[in-house]
Order: sequence, then C-alpha cells, then structure tokens
Amino acid sequence: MKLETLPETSALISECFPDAVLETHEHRGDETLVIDKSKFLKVCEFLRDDSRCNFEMMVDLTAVDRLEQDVKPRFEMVYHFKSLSLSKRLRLKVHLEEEDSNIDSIHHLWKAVNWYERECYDMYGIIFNNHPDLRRIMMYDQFEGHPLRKDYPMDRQQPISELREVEERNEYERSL
Amino acid sequence: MSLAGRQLDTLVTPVPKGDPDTSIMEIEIGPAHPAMHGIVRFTTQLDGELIVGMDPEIGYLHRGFEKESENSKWIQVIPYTDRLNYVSPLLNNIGYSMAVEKLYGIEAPRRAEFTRVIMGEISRITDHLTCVGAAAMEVGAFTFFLWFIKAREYLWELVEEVTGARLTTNWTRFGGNATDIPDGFLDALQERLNKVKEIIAECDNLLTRNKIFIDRVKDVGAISKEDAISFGFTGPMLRACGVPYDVRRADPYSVYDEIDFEVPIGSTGDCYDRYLVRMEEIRQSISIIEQASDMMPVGPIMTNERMLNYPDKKDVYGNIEGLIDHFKLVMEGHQPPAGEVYLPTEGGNGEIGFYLVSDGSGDPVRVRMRPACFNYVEAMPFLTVGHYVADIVPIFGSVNMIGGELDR
Amino acid sequence: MTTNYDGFLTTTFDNVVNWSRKFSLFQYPFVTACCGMEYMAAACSHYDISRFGAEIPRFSPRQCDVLWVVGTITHKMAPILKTVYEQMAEPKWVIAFGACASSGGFYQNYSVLQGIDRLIPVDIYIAGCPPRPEAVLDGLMELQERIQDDGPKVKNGMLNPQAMRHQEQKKDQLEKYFRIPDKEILENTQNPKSNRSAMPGYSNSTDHVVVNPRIGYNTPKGFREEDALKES
Repeated sequence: MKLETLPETSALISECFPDAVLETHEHRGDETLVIDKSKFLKVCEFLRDDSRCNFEMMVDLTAVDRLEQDVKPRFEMVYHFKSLSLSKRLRLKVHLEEEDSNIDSIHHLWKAVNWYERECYDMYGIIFNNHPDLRRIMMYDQFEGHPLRKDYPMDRQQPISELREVEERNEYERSL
Repeated sequence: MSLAGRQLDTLVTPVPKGDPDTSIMEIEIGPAHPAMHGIVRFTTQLDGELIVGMDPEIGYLHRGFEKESENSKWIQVIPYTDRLNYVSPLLNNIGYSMAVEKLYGIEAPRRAEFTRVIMGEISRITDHLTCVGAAAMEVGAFTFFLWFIKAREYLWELVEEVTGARLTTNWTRFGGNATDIPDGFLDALQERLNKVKEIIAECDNLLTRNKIFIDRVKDVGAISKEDAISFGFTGPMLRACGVPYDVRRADPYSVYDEIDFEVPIGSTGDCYDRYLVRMEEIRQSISIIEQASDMMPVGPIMTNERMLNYPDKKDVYGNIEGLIDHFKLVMEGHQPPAGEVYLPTEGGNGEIGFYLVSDGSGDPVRVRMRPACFNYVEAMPFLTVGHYVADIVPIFGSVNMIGGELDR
Repeated sequence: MTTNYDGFLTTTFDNVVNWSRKFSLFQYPFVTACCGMEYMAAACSHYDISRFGAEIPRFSPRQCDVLWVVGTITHKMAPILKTVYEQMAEPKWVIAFGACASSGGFYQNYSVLQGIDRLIPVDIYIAGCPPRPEAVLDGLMELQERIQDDGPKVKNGMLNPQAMRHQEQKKDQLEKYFRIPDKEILENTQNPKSNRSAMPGYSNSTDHVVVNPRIGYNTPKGFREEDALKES
C-alpha cells in the first residue's frame, strides 16, 4: 500500500498506526479500512480526538455474517463514522473469529454506541468488552439464539405465550 | 428546572432496585399506551412527579426486516422498505433503490430523478404533518390533528394516482420508477399544495404564539449541540439544536444540488424549536416541489440497461434475447456486482442510510437500514430526566418515533 | 350470551339492547404498526368513523367493547395483548385489522405471531395491507350486523336463534305475497292456457326425449357416445 495512492483518512491512519491497517479500499467512493482487533480502540480514539479527522458522529454499527460465503473469519464488524466539520465519511471494519467473537466496546467515545452494541449482541451474539449494560434489546429475554446469524432458521419461532388451536389453517411453505 | 449534577454516564436508572427508600416510585409507561406513535415501554423512576431515572425498552415491533431481506431477492425487499418508516414510505423506497443503483454504479434517468424528488418531498410533508398533528393532539390541541389528517388525505389521494397505494407504495425500481406521473398531475398537485399551505398558515396562527402551547413545550427536552452529535442525532432533531446538517446539502444525491432550498435550524433544541423546524420544513418541501415541477424534463422513467429492466413486450415475444433477459430477470432476480455500499439519504426523521453487501449472486448478503429514531429513543432518558411526568408527552411527540423504523 | 329467546317482550328487548350496543361501540385501538395510519384516516374527518357511532377511542380496556388489533403483533407483544383482552368486560368483540393481525401478513419469521386468532378469539377480519378506510368501515358494519344478530348467522351449519327467527319471518312474508291459491292451481291444470306453449323451451307434452346435446359438436373422442356405440 503506497501512502500517496490512498485517500486522506486512510493515509493518516496508516501513518499513525502502521501495523493496524490490514486492508483498504474505496469501492464506489466509500472509503473503507480494515483494522486489526487489538488496535481498534486506539484507532477509534484517534479518529474522534485528532483534529485532522475529527469524526464527531458515529453513524452506524453493525455486523455481517459471512458463513455462506465460506470466508474466514466469520464475523465482520462494520462501523460508519461522519465528520460534520470536515465533511468526511469513513467505514471501519474489524474481522472476528467465530470462537473469539468479542471486541472492545467504544461506548465511552460516542454516546450513541450503547444501544447499537446491544442490538449487535442481540442479533449476532458478539460480546462487547466493558459494555455497561449488555442485554437483549429487540428480542425478549427468554429467546434462545441469535436470530441474524446465518445458521438460525428464519421460521423458527419461540412463542412465550400459550397459543390456541386454530381449525382449518393452511400452512403455506415459503419457497424461493 | 434541571436535576443538579445530571450524570451523562448513568443513563439507566440511578437508584438500585429493591431500595427501601419508598420515596422513589417505579412505574411503567407500558407498551400499550395511547398509541399514536408506537409501542415502546418506558420504565420510569419518579420522585413525586419528577423523573429521576428512565429506561426505555423497545423491540415490540421487531418484524425481522433484515432477516427477511436476506431470504428474498433484491427486488423483493422493496415492499419491506415501505413498512420501515411507514409515514414516509417513498423516502425509504428511494433510499433503498438508490443504494442498489450505487452498487451497480448506474444512475436513473433525469425524469425519474425529478419525479423521485417530488414524490419524496410529498412523503416528507406527510411525515411532518402526522408528527406535528399527533404531538399537538397529545398536548391537548385536538383540532390540529383533524386538520392535518385532512391535509394528509389530499396528498395521499395524489400519491395513490401515481403509485397505486396510499401508504405502501412500492414505487421505485432499480434504475428508475415503476410508473410515470399521469397528465395533469402537476397542476392538481399545485392546487392541493395551496390548500396544504392554507391549513399550515391557520395552524401557525393558532399554535405558534399560543401561550398554553408555548408553556407546554418551551425549554422542555432541550439538548446541547455536542450531546446531540454524540448521540448521533440527525434530521429535524439535530437541526433544532442549531447544527445545519442536512444530508441533501452535505452529501447531495439525486438532483438536490440543482434545487435551491433553505435548511431551517433552531437554537436551543427544545420541543418548541423542533416544532418550528418541522413546520418550516413543510414549507421548504413545498418550494422544492414547485421548483422540481418547473424543471421537469421529458424522457424515459426507467433505464434501458440490459439486466435491470424488463424488456418491452414486443421484444419478449419477438426475439430470443428479450425472452432470455425477461426469463433470467424473473427467475434469478437482479444480480448486482459484488461489493458493499452505504448510501445516506434524508428521510422524514433524519439520516436513513442503507448499507448493502452483495456477493455477486442474486441473494443479498446483508441489507441494513440505519434507523434515525433509534438514537432519539436511546437519548430519551437524557431528554426527560429532570423534567416532570407530564413532559414525557411533548418530548416523545417531538421525537417522532416510528415503530417500523425503530424496531425494523 | 344466555338470554331467553321465547316470548315477544324478551325478543324486542334483545333487539333494543343489541341496537344500542352496536351503535355505541367504545373502541380500544391497540395500534402497533402501519395499519395505524389507515386507522387514523378512518377515524378522522374525511372517512369519519363516528357516523357509525364508534367515535370514542377509550384507552382503557375496562371501558371498551371492541378491541381493534391494528398492525403486526410480535411474540414479544403477545402477552400484553392477551392481558388487555382479558381485562375487557363482556360483551366484547375483537377485530383483526390488516393482514398482519389476521395471519402474520408477509412476515413469516422468528418474531411475528402468525395471526392473533392463535391467541384470542376474533370476530371480524379486515384484510388489506393496509386496508383502505372504506374496508374498515365495511368491517365495522359487518360487526354491527353480528351484534344485532347476536353472533354470526350460520355457525357449524346451524342458524343462531335470532337468525332462525328472522328467516322464518321472511318465509312467512314471501308465502303471503307469492302463494298461489289452490283454486287457481286446479283451474290451470284442468284448463291449460294455450299460449303457454308459445314460451320458449316449454312443452306441453309429458313424454320428453332425452337428447345428448353434444352430438354433432367437436368433442374429444372419449366422449362421443356414437363412436363408443360403433366400436362395440
């Protein structure tokens, strides 16, 4: 990776944290960086505090499960940031193994992160270290499993209230 | 009044459970409350009528949008996006279709872009009308709800002429739109918008300088700029704090850079400013629609690219390439090239961004919508702690929480 | 509803009570999702649900007759719906408004209850996604008919007592107007009017020949009686 060919923020991060950046691309104009898990917290602090990047807003936090593509590592955390003063956007990615699916929480840097990380835990089962209140947010507590993982079947329902018998129901199967 | 030393870190209840101090009462403003906004449970801790802690619980309308999209084709996701922010469904449709077009790397034709702008702004107007109407009704001004719903009916009848449905429109496609605006639509639209302007002027007269209303909503639910940005506020909530951030100006998409409009901002970030910002945005949207109607070009509404649009029927039945294209498009679906995109657009509530991951086959790997009101409900404890119980109603009304967008 | 169906006074009393119930329905709008927008549209001035008497949404289940379940019900919300239904006092009716409340809609996944009739008994289903306000009003009118008749007209192949009475009344009226007296029937058989045979398709003869109408037309080979007769 030559520093001159990279877009601005990626060049900055590569300069300050040389061994943190694993990959970088700019597909369709979206600047993307893949960061090593151990340096992730420091990079985020740098992104928020340094005046050359100044990312005041954490826009989105989600994960992608790559089980069907047979790509290791399985989970990919995706963070989107926005700098209002410098009009820049950035996407940060961190790869997580299936057995070791935990990552540092950044809730102390941006206040919005708290609930987004709870949702990620609820849907994918990714543990966020040092999160103050990691519990389910979308599903009810009695739910077992993490629904957005690719190996959770879509139709498996876990009702918590007693359901009654309904006569003459046609069960239509989903077929694609 | 504000609670001294309001700690930003203790968003969850500061008083531990099981405390023998009975002056703190915990009540649940439960999911089935007069549900004009949706279903959210607020577990509040009260000292008399003063709120000392609050913990919102959401997820009561979690319908599995993301899981359903992963099990559909790309084009089958569009009806699901209608039901995300269901008061402004066209903005969701437009956001999603534009994100897929970004994945493909194409643009829709000019006429399609202008009609998208017009329909999107109509949707934005209906969103703000519903929000302000419901908020005013809950504060006690019932008339405005009826007037605004009447105004909304005028616009929905027009939306039905174009898309076929009042609410679940399912209108945009990849590379254009499904239907064109009929003849005489723009004139009818201008008439209806004049009526809407009259209704808004009447409401302005009655509400904006009304002492009762101002006492209810002024200095209630205020938030500072830095906190709002840290909480990820976007849209009218952030603009009421004084930050002139509008996705249509900051990251222009579609033809918004050719249209001249102002971005209204407030100063203190309380409920009154949000109400004023929303009313002014309705007027700005009307101005955008008028400009776009004047600039409306003539041309196709759908791109002619090979595997994006169904070929003409004379080609489908006429030559073998048309038949094969139609067959493959119906049976295998759209197959955008591998990659990932994030496209931010300005929804009715704030920035809604679609993050799409594709691997080149016809099945989406990940379809994610960044919800605008998730951040607002997350910040509800911060907005309400230190106020009274009766203030929850105007605060929650100004937040404009839409269940479909919050829980997806 | 165990009321005595015999006697004139009680039936009139029933009718009056049902009439008053159906035109003063207090609704509990259990609104969750997009159908709520169409519910608001039906309740407001353009489509006006209050002209049917169902104007006031009372947001307390103890004071309501009709539970409008508007929108998708998820498994997380189901216990709350059941609690609200159980808190309502008899007589109560339930309307499943929209596709999601009737059958789960097009959400068939881990979190959506596939129709609220798996949880509570439902009287009226209003289909649509979302249903137009006219459909809502049609559903409300259907509910009002049911309330007047004390239940659906036909259930398990049997009419309910009110509907049975209604049907007998109607049969009496029809017979009164259209019954042909015996004297006339006797006269028509003994002195048939000659112009009756001018009616098309009508024949006075008693021995009719059964003719296969398909002979002469292009029928598949297996159906031609002639060919079958020829082969045998």
